[in-house]
Amino acid sequence: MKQAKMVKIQIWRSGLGDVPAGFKEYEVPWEPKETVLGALMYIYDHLDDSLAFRYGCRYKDCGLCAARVSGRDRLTCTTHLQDGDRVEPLRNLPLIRDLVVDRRPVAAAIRAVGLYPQPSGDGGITGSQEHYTRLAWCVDCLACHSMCPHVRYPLADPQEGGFPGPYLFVKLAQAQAHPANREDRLPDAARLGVERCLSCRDCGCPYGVNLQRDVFRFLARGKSWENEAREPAGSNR
Amino acid sequence: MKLTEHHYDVVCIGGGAAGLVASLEATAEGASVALVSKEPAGGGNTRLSGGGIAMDGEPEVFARDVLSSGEGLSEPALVKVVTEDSLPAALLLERLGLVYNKREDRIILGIRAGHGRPRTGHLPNDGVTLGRTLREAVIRQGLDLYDEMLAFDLLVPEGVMEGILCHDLITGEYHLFHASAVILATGGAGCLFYPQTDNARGVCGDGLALALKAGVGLIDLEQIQFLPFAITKPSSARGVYCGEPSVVGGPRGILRNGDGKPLLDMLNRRTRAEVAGVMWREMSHGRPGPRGGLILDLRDNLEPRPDNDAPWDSTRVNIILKTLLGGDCYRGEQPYEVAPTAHYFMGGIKSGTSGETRVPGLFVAGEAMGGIHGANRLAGVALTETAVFGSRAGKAAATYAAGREGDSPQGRDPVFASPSDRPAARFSGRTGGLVAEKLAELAAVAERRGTVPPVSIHRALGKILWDKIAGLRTEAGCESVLTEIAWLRKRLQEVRIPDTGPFNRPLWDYLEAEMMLPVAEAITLCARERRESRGAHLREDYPDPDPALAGRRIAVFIGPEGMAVRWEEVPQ
Ligand SMILES: Cc1cc2nc3c(=O)[nH]c(=O)nc-3n(C[C@H](O)[C@H](O)[C@H](O)COP(=O)(O)OP(=O)(O)OC[C@H]3O[C@@H](n4cnc5c(N)ncnc54)[C@H](O)[C@@H]3O)c2cc1C
Ligand code: SF4
Ligand code: SF4
Ligand code: FES
Repeated sequence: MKQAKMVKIQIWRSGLGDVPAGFKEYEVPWEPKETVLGALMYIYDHLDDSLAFRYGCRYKDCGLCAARVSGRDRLTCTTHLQDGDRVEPLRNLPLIRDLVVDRRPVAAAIRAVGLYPQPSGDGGITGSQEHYTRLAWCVDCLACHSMCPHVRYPLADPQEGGFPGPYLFVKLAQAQAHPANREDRLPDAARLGVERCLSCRDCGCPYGVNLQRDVFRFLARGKSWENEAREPAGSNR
Repeated sequence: MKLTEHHYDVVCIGGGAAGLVASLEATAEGASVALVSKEPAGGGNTRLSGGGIAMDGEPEVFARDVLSSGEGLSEPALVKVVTEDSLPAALLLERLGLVYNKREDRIILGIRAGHGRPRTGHLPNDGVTLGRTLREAVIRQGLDLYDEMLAFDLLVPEGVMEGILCHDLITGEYHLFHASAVILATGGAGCLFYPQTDNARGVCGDGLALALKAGVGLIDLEQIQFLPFAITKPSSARGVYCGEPSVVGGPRGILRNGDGKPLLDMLNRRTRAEVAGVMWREMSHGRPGPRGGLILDLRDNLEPRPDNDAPWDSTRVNIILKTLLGGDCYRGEQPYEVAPTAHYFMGGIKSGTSGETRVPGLFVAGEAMGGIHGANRLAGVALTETAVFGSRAGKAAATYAAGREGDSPQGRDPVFASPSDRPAARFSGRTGGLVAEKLAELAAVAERRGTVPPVSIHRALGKILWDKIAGLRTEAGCESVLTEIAWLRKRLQEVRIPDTGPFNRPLWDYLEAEMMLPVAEAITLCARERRESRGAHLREDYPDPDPALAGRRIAVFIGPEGMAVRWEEVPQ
């Protein structure tokens, strides 16, 4: 057997258990296309099972494995491992342990703001199959949420500076674009401050959701992408 | 040890489609419902699925296809229900907010292998949309979701359901749910074969173990569906499926062994079983590739040829391969190593047509249920099953709970509120003793400073199951699995839980291993007992079906002398 090539990786430890808070370096095997998740799993299985991180599917469906890899918010299961990578938890969410953030505030906000389609409202249909399909690519990973410099919870009073960040706007856009939705959500988007996003380029979805066009402009102007001049998709990061 | 108590009419374990639909339907019937799930609800294999949902307005025609693929092991009564309810269930999902791919306002129905006609609907972004939509529906209904909560004990004093015991991964606290009805919607157990599985992390057969321990039998556990083509690297993505062999392989794809020798061509004309048979044989007795699999060489598909009538279409290969293996492999320009992957459990918990089991108050729905698919599962029917039986079990559980007097206390503590906190000593009656006992046992485990990381038990189990009973099974192979399981049981007594903080995954690994070992044993006993080859069950020492065993199935249960198997006629 050939000796596996090893690389070094720095991982944020939050100071629980026997490991002090700070970055801790680990040496892990590397081969072409090895992923950051592969490194985390190697550490857990072979070196240190007190390291906390989430994963579910191992291939970009569950959205649970996101972290900040060398400064970029990404799913660790589809991010290729590089020597010297630094892995930190997502930002803008309370930290539970190591790379694990608390997703409950987001879940609570979804419930509080009612971020789901309302097929039984009394207005007209607000969405379309095409627009909804484009927004269906979101895997709820919260990477974009981590990118936004303005996120502030709780949302209760936007006047007090509460700001939901991109992910909750994605949810709102999904509700608005749902082909059976009958409750106009644009007033909610305005109330939550979507205007700010039209002049900001600090977040982007690495996984195929065009946040500017299909989420922010859609929610600010109520137009679906079909009505806009075609422009290249993709994020600015 | 902190313990929080909750009171509900119905508790549903598992946040895949079956559990979500069951919870919604039980709520609609007026029950107070908690949904407890290891991952956030909306996950499970449901979320990873291709999102194909079979539906047919002519149930008899549909039923014929399901029964014929089941090779005599499908229960006609269950098949009747799943096919009769297929269209209503598909429309129920739509009412709950599910968006199907449509053309001119009609659901586009595709034809899938083994189906006599087009009857499979699809979704934008597949199972992700199914999981997310049902999660939204549950939140809209105001149901109490307990995400990242592991159920590890059913409380069944004197044979009647009284509640469940759970551990909260986020806080590290224990939770006791009093409930008169419990629905097991924990899915299959593909992760027993980890890493050679495409299943979600939490899908390792917990519900099967809980049912067994509560005194409910499991059936057809030897019938496990493997998909032939899954990638073998990178390490984190071992087991991720490539797509149907007939589609991925194309007209000129060739399967080669580790030495490059061709084993099988014309992959688009081969059945799954044919491909898998060749692969298992070469992998156990021939010359496998460096990762134990075989080499898929698709390059000839790319050559322009007059006899290549239908051009090979790489876009029907799982798109994720582009990232995981690289564009050249995805486009078929570079051969790559593939191996079969554990995909679906046809067998499961024995139950009636509303998911009821022999324990009053215990119900089952979804992949955890046995008896529908028999020896093979048709594509698309698993998701139909989750909606059909989720709905039926949810209603039945609510009705059952309503019929139990004085057993429906109020006081609800959802994940979104701060839970109430009462000391364990307050428990009275029959469940109290059981809870105290189990918690004391766990406290002892946490203090024991052993040497064995609990995850190593998962890995050792995955390896032996993959080596010995994934593909071609033998009497001796089954014996060696049973020996290894006995050894792993001992190892489980020597575990080391590093600490007691939040997100204590090693503790979960331990609690899961406690459930995985009996399920692995049950599977192995069934695999040993069926001394023939039938459906997904392949015996190297008994390569043919035995006509005497047609229409007979194996039930496994815990008897006075421990785990045992029993042959029974498939109810007609
Ligand atoms: C890659 C893939 C593709 C598929 N494609 C299709 C398809 O296109 N069409 C089709 O019909 N079928 C498909 N299937 C099969 C189908 O997806 C599953 O059979 C179905 O989703 C099972 O649903 P379920 O609700 O029963 O279980 P799951 O969706 O697996 O959910 C089980 C849930 O239970 C939770 N759980 C387990 N144990 C515990 C416990 N102890 N405590 C708390 N929670 C627990 C898990 O975390 C999980 O959330 C596919 C399967 C896979 C893996
Ligand atoms: S929009 Fe993109 S980055 Fe944001 S949660 Fe969805 S998938 Fe993740
Ligand atoms: S556009 Fe700017 S303000 Fe708006 S969500 Fe993204 S990062 Fe935040
Ligand atoms: S592990 Fe599921 S998205 Fe990465």
